[in-house]
Amino acid sequence: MEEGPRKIAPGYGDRISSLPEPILLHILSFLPTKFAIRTSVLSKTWRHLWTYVPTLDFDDNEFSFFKEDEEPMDTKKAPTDLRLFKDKDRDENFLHVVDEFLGLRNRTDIHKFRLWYSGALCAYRLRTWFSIVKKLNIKEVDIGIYKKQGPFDLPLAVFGTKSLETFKLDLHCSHLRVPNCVGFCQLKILQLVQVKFSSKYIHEKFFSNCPTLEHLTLRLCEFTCSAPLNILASGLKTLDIYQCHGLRKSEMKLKAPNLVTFSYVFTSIAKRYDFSDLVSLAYAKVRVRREGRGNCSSLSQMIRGLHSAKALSICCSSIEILAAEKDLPTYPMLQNLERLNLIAYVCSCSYYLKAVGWFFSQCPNLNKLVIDDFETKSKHMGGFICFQGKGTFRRYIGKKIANWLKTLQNVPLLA
Amino acid sequence: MSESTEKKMVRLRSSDGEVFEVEESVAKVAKTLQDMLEEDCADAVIPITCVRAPILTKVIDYCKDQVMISSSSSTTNNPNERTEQERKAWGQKFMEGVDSSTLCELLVASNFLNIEGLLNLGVDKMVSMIQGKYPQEIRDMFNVVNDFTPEEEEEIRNQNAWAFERDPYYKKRSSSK
Repeated sequence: MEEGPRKIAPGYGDRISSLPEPILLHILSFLPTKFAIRTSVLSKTWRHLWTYVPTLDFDDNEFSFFKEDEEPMDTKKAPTDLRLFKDKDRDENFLHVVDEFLGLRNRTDIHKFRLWYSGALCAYRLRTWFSIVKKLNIKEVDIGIYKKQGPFDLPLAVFGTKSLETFKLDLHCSHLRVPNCVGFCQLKILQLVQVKFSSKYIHEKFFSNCPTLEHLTLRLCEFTCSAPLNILASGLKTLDIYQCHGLRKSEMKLKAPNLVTFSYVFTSIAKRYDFSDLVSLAYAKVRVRREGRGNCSSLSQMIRGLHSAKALSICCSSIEILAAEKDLPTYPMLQNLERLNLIAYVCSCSYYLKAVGWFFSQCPNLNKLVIDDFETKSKHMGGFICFQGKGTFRRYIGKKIANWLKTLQNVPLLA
Repeated sequence: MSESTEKKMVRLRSSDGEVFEVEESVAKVAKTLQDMLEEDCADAVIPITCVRAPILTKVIDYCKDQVMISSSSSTTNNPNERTEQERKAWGQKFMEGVDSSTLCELLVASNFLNIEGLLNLGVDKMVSMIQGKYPQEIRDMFNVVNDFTPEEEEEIRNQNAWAFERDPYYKKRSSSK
């Protein structure tokens, strides 16, 4: 065996500087560019290290434009946002820094570009940045804004960036506007957070125009003007829809033969579901709840579409909604289901029990049942969750269900 | 190679001469050792020349846990996000109380032994230690000796003056990995 890269004497000393360079670069690549640059004055070893880091990461919440030793502006108001004393100059300064850096690094050595900004990003600037990004062989772009604004125009250059594999966008509830008939040609991971969709601004085939897409996440998004959600993606492996709203008036269409994981959590029930070809589906997670006097009669369309799933995690209220539907099929809906995770709430167990019992008859091949207490700390659910007696409750509902199962003979369950 | 039912043991010697005996499966978490064991070029004691005994102990702890996880995960058959959370919590706990110099040694060890998971844990910890700090704070934390003259340092600072400006109320953001 060879000697280690450097012999390190036990005791104290400057150990960090003697770490192998690839590790140091790896560490710096996870730091916002601001803090990576700060390492340049540590010592001569560190002088140019940061310039080899393949990420650019700017967050204007990290910018103050005050000297290090300058009196802090409002120490008393400190935890309040810096937006309080933010002015136009500061915005311009920040944008200039980004301009300059993108211009300087006009080489093919940036893998990740992250930009979070609290002002309004003008379309012209975005276009300029992305025309540079396009040349940089960039793999990951992460853009976010801290403030709601008018429609956010995604420049055409984004879609033409061949090297792009991951794209994350957080619009803080602004509309996303996308040129017609475009899609991501090479993208593997798409994550959209707090994005508003309207058929006025985005083509309904947008998600279907990403042939290589493998992972799609929609978080806290909103669908307005009954914009349909159409996802016809042959390469899609995971679909994660979390706390999205406004689907009540629209349709959701999903066709993804390679989809393995499907998650639909705290999201409103759409008017209609058209799920087809989900032949590879292994794991599904469904958690919905009744929304006002909304029409819930479409949930069975979704569940039927998930018939290939081997494992399902579902909450009692979803089951209750499902059981209340009128036109349910006469055959069991989840023929292939082997494992069921039941998420239960304290306040409503006995109320749901009958529905849960019915649900078992929909899963004739079930061989494992796990009862989870709610696992979320979400505050959005308001009074829906009661925080009490976790363990006791699990035993309680477990016992109830076990008792209930005794009355049923055709369900081979190893609870 | 003999396929004995008994668990095969491997002996490792740290740079300061201490010998550790571990199960082969534990040693194999380290890719470097796995390669050596598979090529059968490690019959006696394997010297780990750049890792001291206290660090090697920690590394072995990590490997043992990995073996435990991989053997128990075969019984639960679905990818559950809760295990992901648990793993994260475990990683944080594992790195809790690790001081800066131990951390550097751990990074060297995991790099040398090629243990990706441990390397990532170490890098995460290092990032959280550096992020939001001023240069002098980092120097103090890691005993970095400033070998610039004040004029030189001033010049470097001026090249990207914005990066050395006072931090706003600094909120640690979640790792965007």
